[in-house]
This record gives sequence, C-alpha cells and structure tokens, in this order.
Amino acid sequence: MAVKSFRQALNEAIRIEMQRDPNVIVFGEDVCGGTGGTGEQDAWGGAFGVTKGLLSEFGSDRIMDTPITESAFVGAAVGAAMTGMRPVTEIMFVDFLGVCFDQIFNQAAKVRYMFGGKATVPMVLRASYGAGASSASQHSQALYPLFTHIPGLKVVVPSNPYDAKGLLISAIRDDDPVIFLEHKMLYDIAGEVPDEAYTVPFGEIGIVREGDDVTLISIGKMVGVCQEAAKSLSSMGIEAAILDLRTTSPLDEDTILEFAEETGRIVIVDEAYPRCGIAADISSIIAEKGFSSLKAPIRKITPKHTPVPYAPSLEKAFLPDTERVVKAVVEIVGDSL
Amino acid sequence: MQLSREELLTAYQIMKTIRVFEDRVNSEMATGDIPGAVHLYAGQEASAAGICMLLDNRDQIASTHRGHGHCIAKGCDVPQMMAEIFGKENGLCLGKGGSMHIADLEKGMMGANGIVGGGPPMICGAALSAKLKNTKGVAVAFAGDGAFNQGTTQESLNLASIWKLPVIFAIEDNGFAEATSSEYASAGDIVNRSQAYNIPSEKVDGLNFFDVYSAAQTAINRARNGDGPSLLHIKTERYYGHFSGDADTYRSAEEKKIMRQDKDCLKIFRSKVLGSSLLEESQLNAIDQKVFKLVDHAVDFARGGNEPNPADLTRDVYLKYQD
Amino acid sequence: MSAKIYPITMPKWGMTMEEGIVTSWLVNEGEIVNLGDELAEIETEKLANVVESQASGILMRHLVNEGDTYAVGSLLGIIVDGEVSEQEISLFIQNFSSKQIIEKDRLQNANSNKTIKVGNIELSFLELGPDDTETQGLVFVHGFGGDLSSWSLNQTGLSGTFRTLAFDLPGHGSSGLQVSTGSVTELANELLLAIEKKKFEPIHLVGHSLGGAIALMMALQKPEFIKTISLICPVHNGCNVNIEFLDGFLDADSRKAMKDVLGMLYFDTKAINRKFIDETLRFKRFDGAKEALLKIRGSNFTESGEYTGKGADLKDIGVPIQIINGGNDKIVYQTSVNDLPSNIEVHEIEGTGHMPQMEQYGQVNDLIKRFVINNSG
Repeated sequence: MAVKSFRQALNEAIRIEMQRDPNVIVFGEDVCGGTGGTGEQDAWGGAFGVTKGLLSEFGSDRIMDTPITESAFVGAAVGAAMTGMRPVTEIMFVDFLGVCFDQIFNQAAKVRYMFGGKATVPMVLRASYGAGASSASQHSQALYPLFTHIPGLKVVVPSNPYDAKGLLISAIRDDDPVIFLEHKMLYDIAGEVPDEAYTVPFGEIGIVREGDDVTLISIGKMVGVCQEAAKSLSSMGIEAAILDLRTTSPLDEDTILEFAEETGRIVIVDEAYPRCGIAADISSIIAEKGFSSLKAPIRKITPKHTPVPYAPSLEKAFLPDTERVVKAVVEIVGDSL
Repeated sequence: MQLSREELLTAYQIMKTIRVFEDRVNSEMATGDIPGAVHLYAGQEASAAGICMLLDNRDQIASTHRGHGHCIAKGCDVPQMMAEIFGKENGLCLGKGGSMHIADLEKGMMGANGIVGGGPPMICGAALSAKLKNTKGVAVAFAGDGAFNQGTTQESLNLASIWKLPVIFAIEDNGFAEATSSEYASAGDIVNRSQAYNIPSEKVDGLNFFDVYSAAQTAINRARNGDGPSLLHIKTERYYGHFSGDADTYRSAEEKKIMRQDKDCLKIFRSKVLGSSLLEESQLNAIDQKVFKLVDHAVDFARGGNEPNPADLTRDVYLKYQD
Repeated sequence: MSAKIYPITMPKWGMTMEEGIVTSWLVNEGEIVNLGDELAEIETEKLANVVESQASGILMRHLVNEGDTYAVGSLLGIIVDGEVSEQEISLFIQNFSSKQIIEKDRLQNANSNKTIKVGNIELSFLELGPDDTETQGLVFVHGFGGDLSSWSLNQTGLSGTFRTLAFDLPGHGSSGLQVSTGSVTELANELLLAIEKKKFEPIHLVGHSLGGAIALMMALQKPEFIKTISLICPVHNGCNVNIEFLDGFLDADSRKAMKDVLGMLYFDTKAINRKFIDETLRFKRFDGAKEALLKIRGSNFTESGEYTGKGADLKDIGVPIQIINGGNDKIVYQTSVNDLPSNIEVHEIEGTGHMPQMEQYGQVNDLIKRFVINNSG
C-alpha cells in the first residue's frame, strides 16, 4: 500500500469526492491562491497546500478563492448547502471562527431543527488547529469543545493519514454540517493510505493499541503523544490501551465504557483548554455511567487555563507531553500491578 | 410596466393578507396564547408584494426577524404559518421554529432569521447555487436599515459584487432599528454606500406598490441575465413597535397617527387602481372578505392544532447521528 | 533406536503476525504428547488459538514463560522421542536460534501482496512453498466475506511439503472489485485464468464454503487441471446457507454488529478479537466493496439462502473429492452423508464451527496432506 502524507490523504479525499459528485464545490481564502494576480494561479492550494491541484483539474466554477470575509462565505456555504450544493469551505485557522461563529452555531447548526426537519445543510467546514509551531495565542488553539457543545454540528478530528482520508470522504458525503479540524503539525506525517475511495465512520473510536492496565483516551496530535507514552510504560511492565476519539460529536461512548470496564484506569490526554473541554466531558460520562469500573480517579492531561504562549519553552510547558502522561499513569497504577 | 387585472388583484390580495394577518396576530398576542414575541410587518406590505410577485419557486428569499410578510408574499401556507406562530405541531416548521424562524424551502423561503444580518450571506450561497446550476434563479436578501450596517451585510455586498451573483438586496428602511433611528445609526446614504461596491442601487418608495414592482423588475431581470447584484433602498413604515412588547414610546403619538392615516400602502394602492379604473371597488372588497375568512380559518386551524409531542424534542437535530 | 528432538515453535498465523503471547501451557514438562495434541495457548493481536504438536514423544522442556511475548519462529519448547542427554538438548537449542532467523526472513519476503491481472481485474495472491514443479501444487479458495488469510495456518503448515497458492476472490481482500455478475462460474473462470497464467497447473484444490462451490466449478470447466478437491464446509448443489450470516455480513457496519456476525463462524467465539473485526469493517468500507458482495450473494443464493449455482453437483465431478465438515457449523446446512455419492470421503471434526481450517488446523492440514499424497499418481 502506498505511503502518503496527511496532507496528500486530505487532498485525495476532496479530489475523489469532486470527481464523484458535481455538486461538491470548494471555497475559502487562498484555496487556489493567485486569483486576480499576474503570476501563477493555484499558487498556494490552501494555506497548508491541502487543495493544491484542484483548480487545474476542476476549474474555477468548482473551486474559488474568497475575500477575507468569513461571515459572508461561511454563511454562503450554509445557503449553498440548503439549495443543493455540497460546499467544502474552510477557515484558515480555527481561531478565526470568532468572526463567523454566528454562521456556524446559529445558522448551519440550527436551520434543520428550526425548520422542522425540512432543510438539510450538507456542508463541511475545514480548519487547521493546534499548538507546537510557535504560532502564538491567536493561531494555535484547538477549540473543538466549542463546536462539540452545539447541537446540530458534527465534529471530526483525525490523527493519522488513513483516518484523515476516510473521515473527510465521510464528512463530504454526510448530509449534516461537519466541522473538520486538521492539526497543523500533522500535515507532514506519513502513513499507509489506499488509493481507492473508502470511508471511516463517525462515532466509532479508533482502537490504536490494546492493553490491560490503563486506557489512554486521546484525539488528534495527542494520539502520537500517547503512543510514545505507551512504549515507555510497556518497558515498565504497564500495558496501556490507546483510544483515538476521531469524532467528538457524535462520541463513541460505548467503547469508552467498554475499556473503562476492562482496564479500570483512565487517563484522558487533550491539548484543548481544560475548562468545559473534551477531557472534562468524557470524565463526567465515565464517572456517571462507568463508576463501578473505576479502580482509580480519572486523570486529565491538558494544558493549564492560559492562552497558548509564543516562546518555544513556554509552549512546551503548555502542551501535554509523554512525561506528564507516564507520570499520571504511574501514579494511578501505584502498587497495584 | 403593464400589470394585468389578474396581477393587480393578486397584488392587492397579497398585501391585504399580510395586513390582516399581522393585525390578527397582534390581537391574538393579547390573549396570551402565543408564546414568545412577534415582530410585525404591518405597514411594509408593498415591499414584500412588489418583489415577491416577480419570483417563482426556483428563486430564494431570506428574511429578517420581521418575516411574516415575506413568508406570505412568497406563497407559504397561511394557516400553517399561524399554527407555527402559535407553536403548534401542525405549524409550518412543526412548532420547532416559531415566528422568528418561519420557513418553507419548497417555496424558496429560506427562513426568517433571528440574527440581524443573518440572511445576506445565506442568500449569496443560494445565488451561487443558482449560478453554478444555471437555473436563472435569483436570491433576494430582505434586510432592514439596521442590518445594512452589520458586517455580514457589508461582506455580502462585496462578495455578491466580485462573484457577480444574482442577488437582490432589498433594504427595507422603516427608519428604526429596534428603538434607534437609522438617521442616527447609519453613516452616509444607503444607495451611495452600496454603489461603492459597484452594485446598481436605487431608492424606492416602499409605500407605492408600483414603484417597488418596477424597481424590482429591473433588478431581477439584471440578475437573471447574469449581470450581477442590485440593491433596492425601500423607504417604508413600520406600524407596530419593534416587537409585540414594545411600548414604542420613542415615536410620538402624532407621528404614529399620521403614519396610519397617510402612509398606508394599501390605501395608496386602492386609490391608484380605483382612480385609474383599473379595478372596481367591489372586486377589492370581495378580496377583503376572502382574506378575513382566510385569516379566521388560519386562527381556527392554529388553535385546533396540538402542541408538539415532547418525544419529538430531539428529532431533526441531525439527519442521522448515531445508531 | 536413535532419539529425535523436535522443536515447538511460535507459529505464524496470518501474514502480518510478528509475535504472540504464550498465555498458558496445556501439557506439563515430562508428559507424553501425541501428534496433534494441543500443547499451549497462544494469543496474538488478531486471535487466540492453540499450538498443536507436530510430533509424538515427551514434552521435555518449557523454554518460555507464560504471559511473555515471543517472535514468530521462536523456540518455545522441545519434544523428545527416545533417550537424549542434557548436552544434546543444549546443543539443539543453541543451533536452533541461528536457523530460526533465516526462516523468519523467508516468511517475511513472502509477505508482500502480489497481484496478477486477469481480464479487467487484479487478483491478489500469496504463494508459499518450494519452487520446483515436481512437488504437488495446492490452490486454496476462500469463502464469502473472507480472504486468503483464512488459509494462513494451512498455507504455512503445508508449504513445507507442497507448493501452495491462495487467492483473494474478486471483491474480497486486496483483489479488485470489478465483479460482473459474481456468479460462481465467473469467479471460477477468473481463478483458472490466473492459475494458467502462472503455469501452476495441475493442482489440488482446497475450497472453503462458497470457495468449495467455486472449486467444483473449476473442476467442471477444466477437469484436466484438477487432480483432487478437498472441500471444507462447502457450499454445493442442495445446500442452504444461513442468511442471518449472509445478510448480516452485508449489513453489519458497526463493531458490535460485525462481532455478532463473525461470531457465528466459530465454535470458540473468543477466536475473534477487535483487530480482526476492525480489519473486516475496513475492507467493507471501500467504495464498491458492498456492491461486489451483493452481486456475488445475489447471483449465487436465493433470498432464503438456497444455493442456486449451476454445475456444483458432486456426482458430476470425476476427480477424487473429500469433504471436511465442522461439527458445529452454523453457516452451511450440509446435505446428509447418505445423499452424497459413495466415493466421496467425508470427515467431521468436533470442536469446530464453520472454520475448521483455522480452529482445528492441525487435523485439517493432516487430512489434506494425506489426501493429496494418496492421490498424486
């Protein structure tokens, strides 16, 4: 099987769907790059190169650059989706959701419900997210808890190239509004990705590793942190299972509770802010529905309640890392193994 | 611009239906049987009628929080509308949306919107669909003088202009955004500001159906021909307060009296068509009767409907969520 | 009588297996074992199964600990037939480790998925065994919803003695999804073309479930290619298939549903684990996979699961046939032995469901080996 980058996997997903369905259109800032200029058209192919090559294959009726007017074009995605198109729009950094959040949480998310089920909004909003590139406070956030909080939205956060392609194909085929978040530091990671079209479903956790002693629950780039931690733990005789949430809405509660039952110890690793975050949400679900499974308190490895700092030393202190995960596991395992 | 007898009767019927409907909703509110609040369109009827008469089912409109008038003009079912406002299961949106989110996509009514400026971006999207699918359809964004200042509206003007979208921005200027006058809140002049986006724009007398119809015709034809967006700055009057609980003390009693007397688009329409013998009084009166009966029936239909079942609370959040 | 020392090694179950855990020894040191006895329970990423004894004698040594993980091919213990000294045992163990590394490489090189184009479809296959054409050749045909890894325990077990070739059927595994009608005739012809292209004939066929019907059709189409047919829980004329499995497999799109369906295949349902379920779901989630399977189901079975394929009638086939059935097969309702032609050997294996080639692989390998050798003339 061919080895491809996360970026390539996403590009393939969009290309496959644009070939399959003429209603799939793409627009956003610099998704081509160069519109109206005298030089190369499709100069960028998106701020992170994900949509490169689509202009020459599909033309400017299918993929369009927009002005820097998120409210207008994210709202336009909603309207286009309501009237027969399947738009894949993007905001360059999820941090920019502030300027168009109304279109997302009051329009896209609610139109179907408010109109008594007589409307569908089959749109995908892609955005890059995440810290670790010294992009500072306004370009490094995760923010998926904000979307997860809103009924009517689906929220997808892939951790590897195989899932990225399958989940994006699923997102484009989904008839509900989907927020699709891509960690900016994962675009270059490589993995086996089939050439053909395939789907990865929403609401199904990826079981990355089996283990009997503790379950590490994670998402996005943090899955890799857990994999490193599991190696260290294994050399200490502690075997960790690793769950990759893949989608926070819908959430695969069943698998979480299954692993809580099997291992009795849970550590949730997430880079989003701690208050009202995914780690807090999952902890409460397990505490409520899986209390009797637990052999130790649930641990959350998240940043502290601060914006993302700029200096690399501070950013490193901000983000969850392998040491913190291992330390927490060792603490809750204690002497019991 | 020649309108046939049929068309004149239709125009009158649309406007009369809106007026009677809104007056009736106002009186029904006093009984306490309508949940929440309503924002009444009475006084602005000529705008909705003059534009929507030129549209068909492939054309889309998006409205404001003051959406009953646009909804009726676009051909939505009046009894189902009343039931929706009463929050009943037999309402247009199954009781899920209410007055501020009243919609019918089959009729091209993309909904009243509770967010000021929520409509224009959506309409840009609908216009984009029409353009890409080559339906020759147009999309009309109804917005108020207050919404015109909203960032979303300004961004939409820009986007519609650069992408040459078949949009008509219908800015219904009733002089007030909630309780604040547009004279105070708006810098410059709406037509001037719109023209700065290279969008053909004109001022329209919103009390005169024929003026609205004529300006709309130009704008709609422009859009259908692929020549891009237009803006109509429609001066009109809002009879009631901003919403049903508004004591409307920011307008003097005198002003409001003159408004009802001299600035009534229905009266003006009547006098024009009767004055030029285009129609007979008996025809108009017959329509009046028909409309009163319709609205009576609508209220009966609404009051007779059931409250939605709590078991339906979680239905239609998604098309499909989890097994 | 010269004593012999036999190694007990970590088996390779499936192409991707690299290591396994010895979860428990089933025979103590010093106890007598016979060929085919269960020696130890092994757990891998994909399944749990037992290592069977390849020899008779005394289980002399446990060389590994329960609960520990060992690479495929590792020496787990030794069986001794006759008298040996401590020294001889030590020497044997020492010499063994060097040989085992070579074995591991050989198996790894055979791992990459090769394909062969037949008409408009790429068929994936795995070839294991010696190169020389003098040795008998075996071709394995899996069943509906499976893939060539169904034969992993058999290919590795028999490739020491025979040339072996296993295919992924069209619409399955890593083969293409270009299925026309999906009839048994179509599938049989495609396999025959592939075999001919590889110049692998003449062959002994081993067919499982629907693969059995395909094997019979292959013999009908090209009798000159086929020397014997070993059928395992086969589908053939007169058979009914459990539609709860057939349709359940087509519909299952969640772990829970797929687990329930796959569980129907096995006597010991612990044999399926999450990785196996996930891999099956992954395969089904390719665009076109379900459509291909639907065609195959529709072409070959009625709504109620009756096999409709033409020509797979046992009495029409001229070559020697043996049938190996599982005692607890919940998938294919076999016709009674009394209705079968009398020249067909029928074996029933206890303690197995629809997949005896996995659940009792030692016995099945043995039956295949004997049948092929006895009919190699």
